[in-house]
Amino acid sequence: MPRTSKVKSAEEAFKVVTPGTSIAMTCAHYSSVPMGAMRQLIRMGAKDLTIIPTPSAGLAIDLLIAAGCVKKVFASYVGLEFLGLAPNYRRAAEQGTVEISDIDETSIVLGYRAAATGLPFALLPAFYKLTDLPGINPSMFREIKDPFTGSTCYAMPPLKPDVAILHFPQCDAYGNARQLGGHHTEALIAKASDHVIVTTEEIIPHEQVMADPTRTTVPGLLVNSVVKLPYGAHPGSCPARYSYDEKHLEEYAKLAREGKSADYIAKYVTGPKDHYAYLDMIGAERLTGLRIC
Amino acid sequence: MARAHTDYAVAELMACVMARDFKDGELGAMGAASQIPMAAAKLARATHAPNLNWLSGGSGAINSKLPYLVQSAADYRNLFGAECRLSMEDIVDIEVRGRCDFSCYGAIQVDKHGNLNMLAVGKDYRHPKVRGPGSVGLSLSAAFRRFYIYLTHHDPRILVEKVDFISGPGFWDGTPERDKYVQPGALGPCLCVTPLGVFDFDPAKREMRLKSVHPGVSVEHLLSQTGFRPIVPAKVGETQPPGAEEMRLLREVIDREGILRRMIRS
Repeated sequence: MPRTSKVKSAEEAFKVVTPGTSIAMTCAHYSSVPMGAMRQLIRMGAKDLTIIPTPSAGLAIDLLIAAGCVKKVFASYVGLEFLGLAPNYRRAAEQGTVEISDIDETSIVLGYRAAATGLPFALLPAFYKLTDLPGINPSMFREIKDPFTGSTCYAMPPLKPDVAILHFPQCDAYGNARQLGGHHTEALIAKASDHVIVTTEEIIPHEQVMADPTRTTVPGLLVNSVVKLPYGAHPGSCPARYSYDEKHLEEYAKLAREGKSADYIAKYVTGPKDHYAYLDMIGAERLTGLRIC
Repeated sequence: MARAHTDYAVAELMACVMARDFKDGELGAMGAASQIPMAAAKLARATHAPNLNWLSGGSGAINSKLPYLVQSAADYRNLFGAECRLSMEDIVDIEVRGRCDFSCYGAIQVDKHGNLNMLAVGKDYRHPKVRGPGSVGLSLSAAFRRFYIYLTHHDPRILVEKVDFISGPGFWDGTPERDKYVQPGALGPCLCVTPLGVFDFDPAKREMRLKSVHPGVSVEHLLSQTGFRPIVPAKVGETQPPGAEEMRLLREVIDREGILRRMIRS
């Protein structure tokens, strides 16, 4: 009996995201952001999502908020890095239209690690006492005593997303994925999540994976679906493939600052009927001009 | 002694100030949008600190040798010529454990005790005047041996008497209470470098003290742009301008594209 391929269409794979689903996605600022997947979720009318991000996120969350898909965000860094604050996130936070649970880099990594290992909570160092995080977010930071020494530390619930959406340069049909750049907790998120969707630039032959298994960074045994989305991180970057599209990002940031993200969404997200129509709109000249190799 | 260069941008001067303070053999960590600290690390390695190890934020690159600056520390290209790609998980382990000698932070508010705020401006956390991006790696200021504060704007709304929320503790309220909760060996903030001048910290009061003003900036002007009264010594020196060799390295080796020259308009 042949082995079952995990390759699915975007529509099929993202059906698991329903109102109220908590999602996590790859991202280190503009690197490896699964923007093709985010546009698909918006086209499919996702709503009431809870976002559990990586330590440095922004673009995807800002767009989902603008599209009205988000109920709650666990925040470590939600911004546009060298393009400043994330305008839709900022407005939603200031007006209280999206619930924010402030955590940070260390607690995200240790929170995912607790979920990955199936532990009841993450253990955090005493220095959180010197920050305002426990005060403003008591549901996530609880002061406890080290049972061995009696010293102060903090406990935080595990971060356990319902669905992880991870973008990679390469993956085979069984979900064996290769991150060719920085590792941004995607392997940890895959272990912490209940359901894992990989979006990939390219579906490589399984034989290529077998020939060099040490290059697999997320094993297929953790992956439920594989969706081919070339340039699936655009306007973000994909390591070893293409750089971020600064011009497009500046257009995004400008419209967002001016409160015109609805125009952006109509033009670039709901306007094109699918991912390939989006790529046609961006154009071959622009896309190939971003390539690193 | 290298001849002082007069045609420099203030971000280049800031990179020189930080580079001169990084010591040979140290380990430094750089976060997001770290153009100035990344340039400083490369400059220090090219001059007095060939054994400085530095980590380029989200890219995971150790000792990147990319021959130009990029906007993002998470940019894949920072892996060019690096020695290792550390995962985010590894980076958190190394940082929380307290293995790093220094880090470099910006913030939306900084106070006289060197506390950093990236959460929100305003008294009402639920309805802030300005919602910041979030605390990211700022709590690790209590784990690094020391940390630098660098600001691309010197403004009384940023340099405040007391931050509205603490993301990254500096000297907290200035009392020794802070020392009970930091990782062993975490000494706190060391310098605050802005487009107008440089502060260090008075060790007894644990408060910012004006160390130098940049050439062409008066003490009065700097104080008028500062939202608290720093300790001002009887004699405030002038920041040493970039030397000829520092400028050659910045312009011809480290930042050929001129990112630093364009980033702060004075």
